[in-house]
Amino acid sequence: MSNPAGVRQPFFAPFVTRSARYVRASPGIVAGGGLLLFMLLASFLAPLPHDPITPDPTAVLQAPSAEYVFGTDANGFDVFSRVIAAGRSDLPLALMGTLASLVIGLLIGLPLSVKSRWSEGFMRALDAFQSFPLIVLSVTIVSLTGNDIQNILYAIVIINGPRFIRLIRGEALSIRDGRFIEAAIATGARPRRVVFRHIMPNVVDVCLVQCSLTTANAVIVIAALNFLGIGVSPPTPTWGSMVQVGAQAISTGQWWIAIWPGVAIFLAIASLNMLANGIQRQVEGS
Amino acid sequence: MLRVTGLTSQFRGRAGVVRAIDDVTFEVPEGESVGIVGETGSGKSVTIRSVLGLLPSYGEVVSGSAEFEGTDLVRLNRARLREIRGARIGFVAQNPFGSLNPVLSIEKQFRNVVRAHRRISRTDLRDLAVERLESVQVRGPERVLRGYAHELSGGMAQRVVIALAMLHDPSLVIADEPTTALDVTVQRQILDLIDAQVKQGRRSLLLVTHDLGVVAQYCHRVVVMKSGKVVETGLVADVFSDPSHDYTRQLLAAVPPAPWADDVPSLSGQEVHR
Repeated sequence: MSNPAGVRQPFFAPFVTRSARYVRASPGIVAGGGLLLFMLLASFLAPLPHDPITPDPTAVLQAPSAEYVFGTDANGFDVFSRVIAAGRSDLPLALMGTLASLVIGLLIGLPLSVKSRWSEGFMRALDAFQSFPLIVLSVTIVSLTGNDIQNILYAIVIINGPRFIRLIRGEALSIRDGRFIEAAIATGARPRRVVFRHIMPNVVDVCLVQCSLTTANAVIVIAALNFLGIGVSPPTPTWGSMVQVGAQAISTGQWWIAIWPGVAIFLAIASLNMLANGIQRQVEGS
Repeated sequence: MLRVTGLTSQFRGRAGVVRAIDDVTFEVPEGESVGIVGETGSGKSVTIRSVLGLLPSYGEVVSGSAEFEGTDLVRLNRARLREIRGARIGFVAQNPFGSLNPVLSIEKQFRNVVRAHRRISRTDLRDLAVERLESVQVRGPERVLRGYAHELSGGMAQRVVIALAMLHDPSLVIADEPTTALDVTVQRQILDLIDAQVKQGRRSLLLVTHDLGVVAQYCHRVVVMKSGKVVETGLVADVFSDPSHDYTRQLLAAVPPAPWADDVPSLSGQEVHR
């Protein structure tokens, strides 16, 4: 750090200027990541005013008040507590589904970056698979295999796995043309080594962007399945099932039951999209 | 050491089949340096890629052989070829920034090259990498190891590539225009470095270049190529003093005379930093 005037800088100066530059460079990452982190922390750590899975039969369909901040639903559940508690299952499930999709995308997409008749054939088969309405397919699969929570995970992977495979393969194909891959092969590296040690580090950035988009998509898939009553057992709060319960009350005037979980879904998706946008800009900038 | 006989390779394209090299024959004797010269598109790079099995998927060796220490690399199965590549034949590519992975630290790239052939502990790797970087005159090897390719100068990057190519002490080094992408002032240093490394390790060198001066200075033998064919081959002294082929004569005549070389004023008072 040059300091020609001999003035002592405050010890925090480098930290402040650095972090300020970081924020300016990527407001999306900071805002989106911050909001997401806030929601995750809140759902696990925030003190809840009422038990989210024990209804109070004496307080049914109450409008928002000081006691019930977001009101109560037809069974006497506190909407505020349940909106927060739902994040405990919805968000980690979305993240896990994304992680599983990413792993599958890497394991299948990277080796498929070898141009051959076989890999082209696989991609065409994947095209055919993706041309199905996959959400319908996953609803069918989940309802056939039973109401387990891991079935929701499978649904997310069915929808997002092919996207990851396609993205990673495309990216890897262009990286494979690089001279440094030829150089790697010339060092005697096995194909598996070339793919996972030399090519994979180069696709990390596009994967990061896709991961936040996929998580946003997973939040929607989870909410949609839960809305349809799939993959959820009643007292456990989820945003999707809460919207479903609330939707029935809208016609009789109790708007607050459906709105708040809807807002939570919106915030989760908005934060993830901001994050994706911010990462995308950083990737392009570098 | 390396005996290439009747090597013929072709590429399949939309317009049909293109024969890139045709009946290429030459030899790299033990401990000698051989230069391949020729204009752009004469098949120099295709020749060495055919030898190393690095042709793209649409290219193939049609006939001929490339015998290295008694084994024909062209007909060798892929697993055995991998054992030879990198370990017994080192490869230095044209553009050092192209041949270094942009997202891996230099240390990771050393690790990758070693790990392609054997296991190594973290501390052993570091010691080895530092030692090898010092042997190619990289200053501050620890700092370089932590850094990435884009932080290096062209000369530095090519030194790193050379150190990587020599990592397994190969008996043959193949260099594909190792100085073309570099600043003129660095070219000589890099060539001297390759030359020194080759001589120290009693290795053989196959040097692809289009600079006849480089061949005259660093090689024992020369292979002159034109449109995919070898037009002349022999000892550098013989070929250059008494070229038997028209094309070689034209090539030699095309080298600009340099009587002025001694008169070029050096920048006074400036030390030359290597």
